[in-house]
Amino acid sequence: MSVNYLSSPMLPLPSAAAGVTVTSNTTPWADSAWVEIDPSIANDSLLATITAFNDDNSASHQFELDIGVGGSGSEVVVTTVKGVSQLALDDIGDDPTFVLPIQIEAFTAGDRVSARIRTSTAAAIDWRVAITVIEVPYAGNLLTTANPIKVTTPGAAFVSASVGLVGWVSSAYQTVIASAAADLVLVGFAGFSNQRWEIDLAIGSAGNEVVFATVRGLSVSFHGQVMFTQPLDVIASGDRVSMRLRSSTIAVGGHCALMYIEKPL
Amino acid sequence: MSHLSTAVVKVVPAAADGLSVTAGSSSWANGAWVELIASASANLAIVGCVAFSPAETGIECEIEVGVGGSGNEVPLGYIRWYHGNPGNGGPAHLSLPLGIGGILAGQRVSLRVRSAAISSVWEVVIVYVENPDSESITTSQLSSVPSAANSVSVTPNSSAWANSSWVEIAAALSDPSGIVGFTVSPGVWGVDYELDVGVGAASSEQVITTLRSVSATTPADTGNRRSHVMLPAVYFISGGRVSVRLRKAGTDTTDWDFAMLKYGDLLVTSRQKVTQVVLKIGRDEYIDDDTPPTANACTGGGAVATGTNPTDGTSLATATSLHAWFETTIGGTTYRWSQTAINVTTAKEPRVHRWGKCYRGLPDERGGFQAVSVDIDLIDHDNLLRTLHTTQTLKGQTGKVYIADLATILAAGNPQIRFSGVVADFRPVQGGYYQLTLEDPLSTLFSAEAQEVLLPPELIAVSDNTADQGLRAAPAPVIYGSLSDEDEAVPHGAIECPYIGAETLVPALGNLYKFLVCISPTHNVQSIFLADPASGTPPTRRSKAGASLYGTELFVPHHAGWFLPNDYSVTAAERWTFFYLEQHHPAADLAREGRIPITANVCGREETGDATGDTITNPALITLHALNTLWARIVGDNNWPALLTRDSASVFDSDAFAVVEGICDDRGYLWAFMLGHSFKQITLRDFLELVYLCGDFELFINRFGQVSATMIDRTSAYSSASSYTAVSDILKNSFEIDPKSDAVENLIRYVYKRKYVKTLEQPTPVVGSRLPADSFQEDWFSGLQEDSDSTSITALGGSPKGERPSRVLEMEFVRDQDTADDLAAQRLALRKNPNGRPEASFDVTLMKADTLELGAIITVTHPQGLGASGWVDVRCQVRGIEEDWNDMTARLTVRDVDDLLA
Repeated sequence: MSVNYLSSPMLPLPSAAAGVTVTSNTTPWADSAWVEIDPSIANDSLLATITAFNDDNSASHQFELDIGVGGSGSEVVVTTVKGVSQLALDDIGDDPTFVLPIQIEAFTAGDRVSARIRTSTAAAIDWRVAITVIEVPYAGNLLTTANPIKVTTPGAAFVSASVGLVGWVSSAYQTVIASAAADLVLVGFAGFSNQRWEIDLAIGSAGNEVVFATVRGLSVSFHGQVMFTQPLDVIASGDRVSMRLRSSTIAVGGHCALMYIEKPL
Repeated sequence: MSHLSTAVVKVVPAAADGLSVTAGSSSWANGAWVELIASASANLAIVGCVAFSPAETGIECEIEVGVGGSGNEVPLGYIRWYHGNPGNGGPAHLSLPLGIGGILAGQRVSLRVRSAAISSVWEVVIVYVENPDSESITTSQLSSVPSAANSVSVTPNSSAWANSSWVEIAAALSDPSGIVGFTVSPGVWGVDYELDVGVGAASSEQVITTLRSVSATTPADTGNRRSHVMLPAVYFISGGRVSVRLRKAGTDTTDWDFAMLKYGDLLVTSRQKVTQVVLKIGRDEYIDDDTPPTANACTGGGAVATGTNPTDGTSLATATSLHAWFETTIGGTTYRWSQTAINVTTAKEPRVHRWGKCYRGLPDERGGFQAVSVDIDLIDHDNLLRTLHTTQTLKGQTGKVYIADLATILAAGNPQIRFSGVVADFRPVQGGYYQLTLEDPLSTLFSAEAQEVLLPPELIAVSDNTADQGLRAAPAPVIYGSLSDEDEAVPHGAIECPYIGAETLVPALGNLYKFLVCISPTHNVQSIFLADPASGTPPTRRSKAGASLYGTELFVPHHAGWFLPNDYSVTAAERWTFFYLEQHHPAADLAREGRIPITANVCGREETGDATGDTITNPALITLHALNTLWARIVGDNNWPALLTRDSASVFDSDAFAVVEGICDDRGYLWAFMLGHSFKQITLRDFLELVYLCGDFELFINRFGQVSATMIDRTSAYSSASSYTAVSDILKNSFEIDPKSDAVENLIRYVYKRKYVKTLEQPTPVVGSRLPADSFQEDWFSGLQEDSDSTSITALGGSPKGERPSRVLEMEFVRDQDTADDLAAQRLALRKNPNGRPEASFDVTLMKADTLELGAIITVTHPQGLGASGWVDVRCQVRGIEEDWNDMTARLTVRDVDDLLA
């Protein structure tokens, strides 16, 4: 093996057009309808990036976005990402693109590709969704898998932790995954809090947590995701995964979800 | 090791505000180093960064990481950052696709910042891992382009989703480099956008990848912390110029700014690991076990650049007083010389003593191109010509002979160009005159004795010292059309691809053997045929490479795994089509040593010059393209150039070529050939003869001095042809006729589909096999073909006495049977008449000749024509025009083609 590299192009879908509009369900965490991104993908392809964006500046939205293949009514989820969009006036965007550090062997030539969304809010919000793919075979050296990306607390809000009245003191741990169903490779983190903050991710039973990653937020109100470009191969089947928060400000909450792939890849 | 990591991800400073780092006190000057880690607790790799500027809006910076004691910091790389606004929210964490390694336990780690925002304060947190175990860690330098300068600005197109212009972001990256992403300062927030990354010279940019996102911040809004658009993995390129262009939703045209994050000299630390992987690929997995990829069709047709023709000038048809003059411009001075002084409008000096005759003709019976040369005797009453001769300033100049009616001259109208050429000779001659010789631009390349122009012109200079074939200075083959046997039951490859040398183009792929297909890009390399180890020891045959070989051991343009941004290679400032085979593949050395050369099926030169267009297959287009790119123009690392111009007009009459193209299409003619096969060149003159033989159309020089083409459309009645009639048009006592009764061919013998691949030598010949009897049987797949006319043979005495066989016509440019058979049939129809095909010559006034051009069909009526009543409206093809500008007449040579037309 060598470093991950690529010499083939990434191809946007849709191309040279706005993302397809996926309107969220008015029931929180209920699926939207599937919306077709491409009626028939030209070649076998890897899923490389996913972009999801809304123009709503009235509320923050936690969301899960499914990418699926199959005919209308027979869609099968090939990957899911989880994120959060910002609420305040001009903070609409956040980081709208999930750059997948492990590319998903998601598409076979001729597949119909579509997307659906579910969100934390009871509102029909229009999201614009687009993806980029890498056609197979490709020139380069990528770590790919046919397994989908999955998310923690699926169909539910992020796991939250709160800090007290002293800055930079860690909160109690909160369980994110009670018991991993398989060995997991962690590919991404989505979360938000306030001001400068850190969220520790840890493995171990309650009281025996061992931190394996610290994610740093540095903003008044961080909303977005951190993709682990060197995916973390640290979670074994049966492990409990938990999170805790520290912040430069006091009496605030921090919230997160994780994106992972089950092994073997 | 793998891409995955088990190392703990940490941040520094931890549980505290970020490290405050101040940019330099002048624009893009480095600020002071600020210590981040006093002493690394273990070997470290930086995998991410979190940064913002608490008090600034819409600025960018480069955060540099260094190791070493205070005052002795050694830079490890720059992380480029664009910061929108310190206001509400947004992502602030950038994950690096490759971690910055090389920080050793105990080392001091520091940061410094440079920015256009003088003395701007930045708050930075570094994300790192201890004892990194992911292979996606590098010691290559991360940097930005532009470096220590503002991002490049791209002005969006005012139409939604239309491309902006390309904007250069790097003039020349080192080889290799790895692009990882871009900082983005959008002109407008909340719009979907695509960013194309391109390589190649200005106006020849080729998209290598496209990034997509939605703009999430602008300098003006109170938006997010950072703005990057990143690639999922390092995008490897082999250096060179990199540009970007933008397309987006909406019509806003506010500039967007981009800077590129890239690693230089990438993958060096991984070479040994990669080599091990290459070697471990199974040697037992041979090509027979592997289904070949589907061969993409040679999409034929294509287009060739067109040019601008000179204007025709005022017709001479109704002229009453014709005047001719020679005109040339030297160093800003225009000389106009005529026989009598013309002192109206632009004055013409009376310097011409006598005009030589100007003969232009279609090719001879063998297709020999007819050069055009005109001698003009000039009077040197004032020593001007002596001066011009002494300084040799006249030679090589473009000169034109104009003719106009006096009325046109007085009205300052447009004269007709009767000939335009190059001054090939200028010398004193008997009588105190100076003789100027004007030649057509093509014929100046011919020489009776010296080496003529050879095609193809480019020589192979790319071999290295390991090249076994000794190909240096051999001509680089040029391929047109479909050289492919994919339609056969068992394809073997149509051309041999010689070993050129060994290279390590992509460090990750190790040492590769390089094989030559041809110079210039191709439409496609359909398939590759390699020695098949399963055929024996040593191998005795080839098999088509299987799909799994591409991108693992075999790297071919247009195929999976090709690692260069374009489907061609650039070597010595030229575009070539090479492919590469891993040096340890069993077929590699067999090919290198010439025991079993690798073969390929190839769709040749395409219409754009960048390997993206359709294959050029039409004989007229190929001729035009070949003359423009192999004779007239130096192409270099560019798309196909426009047609060469001279005096603002095309050297080629592309309108005439378009007419021929249409007739070739109607007949279904296809060409496919390798010029320079067997590493031999041919002369330009031989090339022109082959055009006639293989295309049934003829090249000539028109009166504008352009290279033109003509072809008889045998489906046309030419009902509007001009008539030339005795007494009224044809001058008295000038008509002569030659029956050409000795120019009969009623048995056409021809071969086509040249065999470019040598038969593999077998240790023991097959029992009973026969040696080839004639040269054409071993060189041509078609074998000897014949087409005859029994009526003609009978009329001349029956077979074999009455047979008039042609020479064996080697249709070098033809592989298509229908094309070859039709060419033979057309030739037979032209030459089979037992009494020959008569040609006549006669004089007309120049007014009657007017715009008549070679190849035109006219009707001729004259009692001296053959037949009971002579010629009455016999349709003839004009094959020669000899103009005499002393008495303003033209002598036409015409061929009776009446029976060939509809």
